[in-house]
Amino acid sequence: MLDLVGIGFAYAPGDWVFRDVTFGLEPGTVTSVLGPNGRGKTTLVRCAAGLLTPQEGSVRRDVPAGFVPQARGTAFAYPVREMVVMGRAATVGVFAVPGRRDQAAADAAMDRVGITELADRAFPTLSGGEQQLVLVARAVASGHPVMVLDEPATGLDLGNQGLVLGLVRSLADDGLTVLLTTHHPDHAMVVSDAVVLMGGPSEVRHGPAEALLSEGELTALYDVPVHEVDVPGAGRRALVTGYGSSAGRLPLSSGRAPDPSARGRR
Amino acid sequence: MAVPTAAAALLVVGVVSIALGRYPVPVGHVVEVLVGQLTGNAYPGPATEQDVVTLVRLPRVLLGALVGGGLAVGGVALQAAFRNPLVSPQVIGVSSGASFGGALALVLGLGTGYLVASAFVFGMAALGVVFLVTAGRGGASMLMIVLGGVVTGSFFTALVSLLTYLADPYSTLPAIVFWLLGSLATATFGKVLVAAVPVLVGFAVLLALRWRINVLSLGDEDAAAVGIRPRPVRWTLLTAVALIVAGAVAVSGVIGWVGLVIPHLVRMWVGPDHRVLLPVSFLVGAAFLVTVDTLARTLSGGEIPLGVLTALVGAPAFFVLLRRNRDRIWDRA
Amino acid sequence: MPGGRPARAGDLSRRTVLGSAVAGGAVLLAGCGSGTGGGSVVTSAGGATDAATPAGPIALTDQRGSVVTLERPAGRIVTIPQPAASILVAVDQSADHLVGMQNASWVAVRDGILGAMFPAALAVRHDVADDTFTPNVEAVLALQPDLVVQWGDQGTGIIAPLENAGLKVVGLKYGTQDDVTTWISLFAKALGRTERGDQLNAATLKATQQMTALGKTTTGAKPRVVYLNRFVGGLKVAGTGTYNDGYIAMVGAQNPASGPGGASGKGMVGVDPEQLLAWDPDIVLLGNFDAALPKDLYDSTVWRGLTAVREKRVYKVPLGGYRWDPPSHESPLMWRWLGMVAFPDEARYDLRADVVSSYQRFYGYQPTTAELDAILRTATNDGSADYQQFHA
Repeated sequence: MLDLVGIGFAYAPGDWVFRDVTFGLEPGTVTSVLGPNGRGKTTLVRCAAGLLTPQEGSVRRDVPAGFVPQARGTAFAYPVREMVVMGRAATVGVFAVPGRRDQAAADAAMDRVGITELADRAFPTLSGGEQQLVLVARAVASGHPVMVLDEPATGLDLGNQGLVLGLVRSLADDGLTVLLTTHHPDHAMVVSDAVVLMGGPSEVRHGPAEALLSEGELTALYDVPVHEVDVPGAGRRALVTGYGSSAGRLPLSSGRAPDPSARGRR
Repeated sequence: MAVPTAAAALLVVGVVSIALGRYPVPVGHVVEVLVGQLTGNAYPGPATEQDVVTLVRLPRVLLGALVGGGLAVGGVALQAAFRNPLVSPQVIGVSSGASFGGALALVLGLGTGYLVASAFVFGMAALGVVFLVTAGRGGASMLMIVLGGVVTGSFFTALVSLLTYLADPYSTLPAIVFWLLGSLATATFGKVLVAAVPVLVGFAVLLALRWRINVLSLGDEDAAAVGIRPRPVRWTLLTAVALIVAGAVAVSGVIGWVGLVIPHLVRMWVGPDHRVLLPVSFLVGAAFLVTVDTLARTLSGGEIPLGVLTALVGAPAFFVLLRRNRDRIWDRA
Repeated sequence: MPGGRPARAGDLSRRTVLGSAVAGGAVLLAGCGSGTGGGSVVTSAGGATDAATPAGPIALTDQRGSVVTLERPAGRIVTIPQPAASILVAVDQSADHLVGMQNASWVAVRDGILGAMFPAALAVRHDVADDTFTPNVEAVLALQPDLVVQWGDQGTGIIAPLENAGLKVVGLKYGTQDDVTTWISLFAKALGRTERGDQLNAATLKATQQMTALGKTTTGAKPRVVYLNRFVGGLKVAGTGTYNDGYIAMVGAQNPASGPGGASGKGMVGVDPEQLLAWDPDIVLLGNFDAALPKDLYDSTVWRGLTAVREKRVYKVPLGGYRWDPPSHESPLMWRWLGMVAFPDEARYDLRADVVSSYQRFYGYQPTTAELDAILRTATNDGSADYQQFHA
């Protein structure tokens, strides 16, 4: 479906963000890209979606990909229905306007994502999570079998995070090929079949989620202790972090350091 | 539906404007003359009445409609291209560029065709400069766009001043000054044609792209996200706007505020969807300028410069719009 | 926000009008210059003072009320107001004492017959001020003038720099034939030739009285005459209080643009085409400030309803030593021309002979037949009614 072969990207000559990255994406799967800030997660997925052209290697894609950016405000107050139907732009002719089929696809997408009741609301008036869902619906409306999302759950509250993640998983279960970036290893754990860890220009690793979403791998990736714990009642294990440096424990600002040998009584 | 309403309004404004003027022609006679033109029957009344209606007022009303409509859709398109509702042909400097192009043609003694072409070239140049200055990954902030436009506009205005300094004070200079003030007083059918070609061609291009403009107005990233390459669309838009502005400036000088206020008003009425916004803005802009021009020639004995009137009307109107709709039209970008 | 320059078209025409006035007056003053027979020889009176003028300090009172004292008649004069240069040349009957003038004056000298009559004027420096009459003080100083002539009614900003540099400046004001008379007297006094000034002014006064009396005797309906200062690129008509309005009335015609039913506002007023159609003048005069020609009206469909177009009575105003539209020393010739145009059956002059004898008095110059035709614009106006009367 979508294969990245030996791609490398540099914003300035010689200044490689990543090099020699090779992996493929299978239909019906979710692949998450993790890594610290600035290691090129967004750049990588934009290359995969076709928004950026890599300096080296090639992206082999036999179907078009839809891209879901992070939701930001827009200058103009289009209703949600209009925003979603814009996902059909690649198939609507240059001088044409969306027709009945496009509108039907948009309606179906809104239904699939569960935002039909928002159809007539003005986009800027929605909450961050709702806006993100609209953008996902826009990509769904395009009908593209591949969907690339850039940090779809960033900035959302817990409830909305669950909403978006659930949607992502369910779309993949319907047969879509999904690639996304995230800052949260736990989000990756919830939805992913495969992960890509971007530790540096030459340290890009791709593999099954069970293999790479481990305490060891993630601690090394983020330089922060990451632990796998049981989630009571949820029937799964979760990835959490204590936020201290892996090289040693930093006291947190509240003064309640885990070290019992510190001043015990207040 | 908004389009038929706006069209009807323009028609009413047009007929009323043709009925008004310094030369006394009873309204009944005006209608007779117009009907006679359509049916091909000769008008039985005084020839001067027919001349006034068909040769003095009609071209003027047509010209006002073309210029007003053109400037309005130019503003709509610019606001979409720059993703900012505060831009207009004047703010962004394209009017100044076009006026320099026209003044240059006047100083060189070139004909009307060259005047329009020159206005187009320098209008595009101004647009190009502003776009290059403000291009960037995230798109430019409102401040950058307005600053870029002000600087570009000031630059070309300074060049126009230089031209007026160099121009022959007897023949060329008064012609330039009169033209720059903005006036439809010398309207002829020839000028209507000169304006109609670029304005209508540019308008047609914008109409053809009306839905793509919606997508473009979301921003480059969103446009790319749905699979459209924004740059070709944007450059086509800007070229169409430069063409329209060149046509308008060539026949009527610099008329401001239409491209800023009309898009706002119409967007408040019909929303941001350019499939409706574009045609309705054209019609409303046309009706607006015809109304203002009719006021300009009937209110006083002389001719109040059109640019002055549009500013007197437009600036307070825009101020009111800004205050009332700041939160509705765009979010706090 | 980007816009245009404020209009200066009105200022421009005023200045050139005034310029013509001064030129006209000065030439009248020079009426008693020694004539020569045939040919186009210019009599140069040099800087000779009239015997009647005493040598010694000359006190000049300008139109601001300021007094400037010259030790002796000015030998080097710089003029900035547009008409001043040609008037000076006419009073002096030479360009020998004119050392600097404003560019527009020089253009008029070059394009009009004055350049043919006084070729020395063409070599005079003409970069002493810009279009707003702001003086280039260093250029003026470099010419070492005894006297500088400048507008006195445009604020002190354009005079003070000259006075501060130690130059002697007389300030003139724009307006009427009387101003022209004053200018002529002033220039004549500065040149030490007060008699010539008096003679020129007396001739104009006599002509004024003659024309006024004649104008009162015309019978029948007064023809409606409109003077268009601008036709191309916007209409500007002479309204109430303009010099043109004055001579239209003087010759016995009427100006629909002034008085009841006329344009609101005084001076040159911009009007729209409908207003001109509503006034329906019998005669349209096209001024010398743009390139409009009678055939522009005759060929257009918009104006075909105008009486003046139907009867082919659109005329381009003649251009002699200066434009005849504004007040000048040649104004009496303008009045006669207008009288003949307005009342072709009544007025009886031989205008060509008048021009010849006047130019002899003014400039010591005999225009050729071709030059007379050019002055009277026979080529341009022959398509209009009753113009044969101006032919040889």
